[in-house]
Amino acid sequence: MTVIDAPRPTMTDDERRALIQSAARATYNRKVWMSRVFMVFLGLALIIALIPLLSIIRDVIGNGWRYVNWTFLSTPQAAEVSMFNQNAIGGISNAITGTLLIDAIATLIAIPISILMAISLYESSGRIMNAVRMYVEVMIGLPSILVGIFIYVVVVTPMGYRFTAFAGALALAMMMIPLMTIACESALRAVPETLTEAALALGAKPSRVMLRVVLPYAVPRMITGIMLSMSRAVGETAPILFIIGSSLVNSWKPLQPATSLPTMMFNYLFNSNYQSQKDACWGIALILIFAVFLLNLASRVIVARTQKGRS
Amino acid sequence: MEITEQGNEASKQAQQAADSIPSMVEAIADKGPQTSIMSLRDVAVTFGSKVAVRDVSFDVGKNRVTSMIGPSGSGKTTLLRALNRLHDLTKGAKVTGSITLDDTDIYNGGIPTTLLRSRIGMVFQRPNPFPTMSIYENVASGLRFNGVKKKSIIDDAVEHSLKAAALWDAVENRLKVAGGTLSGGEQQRLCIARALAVEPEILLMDEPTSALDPVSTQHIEDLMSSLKEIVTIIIVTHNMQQAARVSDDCAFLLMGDDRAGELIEFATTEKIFTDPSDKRTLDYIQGRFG
Ligand SMILES: Nc1ncnc2c1ncn2[C@@H]1O[C@H](COP(=O)(O)OP(=O)(O)OP(=O)(O)O)[C@@H](O)[C@H]1O
Ligand SMILES: [Mg+2]
Repeated sequence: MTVIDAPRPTMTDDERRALIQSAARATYNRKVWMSRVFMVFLGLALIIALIPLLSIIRDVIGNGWRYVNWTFLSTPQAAEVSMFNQNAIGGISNAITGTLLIDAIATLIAIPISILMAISLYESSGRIMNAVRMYVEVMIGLPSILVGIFIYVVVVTPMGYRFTAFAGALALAMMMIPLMTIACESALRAVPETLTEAALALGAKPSRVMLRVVLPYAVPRMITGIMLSMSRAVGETAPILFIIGSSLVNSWKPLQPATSLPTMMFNYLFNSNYQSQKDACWGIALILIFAVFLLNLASRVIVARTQKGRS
Repeated sequence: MEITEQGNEASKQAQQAADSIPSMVEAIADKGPQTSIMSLRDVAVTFGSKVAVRDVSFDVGKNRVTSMIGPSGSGKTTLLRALNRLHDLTKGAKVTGSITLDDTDIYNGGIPTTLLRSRIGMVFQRPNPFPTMSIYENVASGLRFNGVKKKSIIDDAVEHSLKAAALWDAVENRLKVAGGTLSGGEQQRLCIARALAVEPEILLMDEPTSALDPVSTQHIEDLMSSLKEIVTIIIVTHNMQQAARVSDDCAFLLMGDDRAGELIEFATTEKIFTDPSDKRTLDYIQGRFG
């Protein structure tokens, strides 16, 4: 009846089981001990990582909270600060407008390009596409100042040295595209192959499979990637610093100069003679951090929604 | 050859029994349906607000094969996964009631989960060999996880487990290739070998032969009968004949009016299949619903 014909010369089943169980117990005990040590290290690493982060947040909130009021948010910066009334610096609405405008255009440009690139990277293999992927990955590490110089040379200069929000958006889009592409591609790669096969086996065209099965499954992860790339771009200063110029009024015109939150901060800190403007940077910093926080929160909410009923 | 082997086993055992102290003889003689290795009392599993299975109480006889049958969705897999605490990983999953292994409550700190799982093996409904490991490494993985390092022991266990799972002949010459390259049925047998290598006391099997051809199925069923000597088996199956053939005891689960699975009847397989106490069991056995 038995199909076991392996001779077991060394030990009986019971002996073997006893041996394995004692090994398991010893391993477990060692692991318990090791995992305690490990936990201590983890805790220390966490604390070391959190200390600078928390102290930044503490400083920014501590110094910046008094700027968070409707007047500060809704009035543009003062055109000129007078020597005699240094505290009348106005608000930051022109920079909020600029940031929204530039980031919105940049995102609108970056999303379709990134998704198309991600799909083509996902769908095709081979030398050329591998080279493209490597190129994209290298672009992630491109110093952002280079992007700014590039846009200055190919966009701002030909337009007659005109500083525009649009040029800034192009620069930010260039920053976002590699990040978004890689994030979207890995979202596509995370789709279980069995799903693709199931759809193909139903006679679906590959393009249909992509649209109906792969993309819907990948969307939550893609959104996370897109939002993270956006929050990276929101705070970027270097690539837009010398291409968007500045605007003292709330301007929604892409082809006009604009001020964004990071560039305003830069100018207040380094080009202003007034302590009041330097102090206001705390407020701007708080708003920027809050914006990044909101983006992250939004991506979480969207992902949680789309993930419902999926296992 | 098989008969000889059986003879060898028997004579070896007789020899051992004769050599050992009387208490050991008693222990062997004691092995009957009365000895239970695992007890379930009012076990229920819920996912958030959904009750997947409830009101389950029975004893798992040591060195016996217990089958769980019932229609799709009656909570067989869910119940099986409660026995080695796999639901710990699922957010919102909750197991209530008591499950004891050798009189130790497995949910209330009686035994570390890791150790519990090294004593209770599992074969899943879908084959899941580790794709990054070779066939050899797949079988050896459990031993390595548990800190067994000696190569001779691992070699021996790999060969023995693969033979037990009726896979040795097919893979003997390609132990180093990736486990994912095997056919679906071969992968399932690889997973069985992987579970056996750890010498578990209990082996949980979730429809282990649903992906196998009749010959391999036959092998696995034979294997279960011979494995009983050393391991207690709990098997979920949709195949009535299989349940009747291989199991000693049988649990029948069915959805109640609110679609939650319930234990309808637990008895010896013989009784379930010849003289069930509950009419619903009879209906199911005779294929009247499900
Ligand atoms: N992770 C989960 N979250 C929510 N509900 C679940 C989860 N797993 C199982 N269920 C539900 O529990 C019920 C029982 O499922 P289970 O997989 O145990 O059935 P089964 O008896 O094994 O069925 P089958 O014979 O088809 O394998 C089903 O209604 C299922 O929807
Ligand atoms: Mg199941």
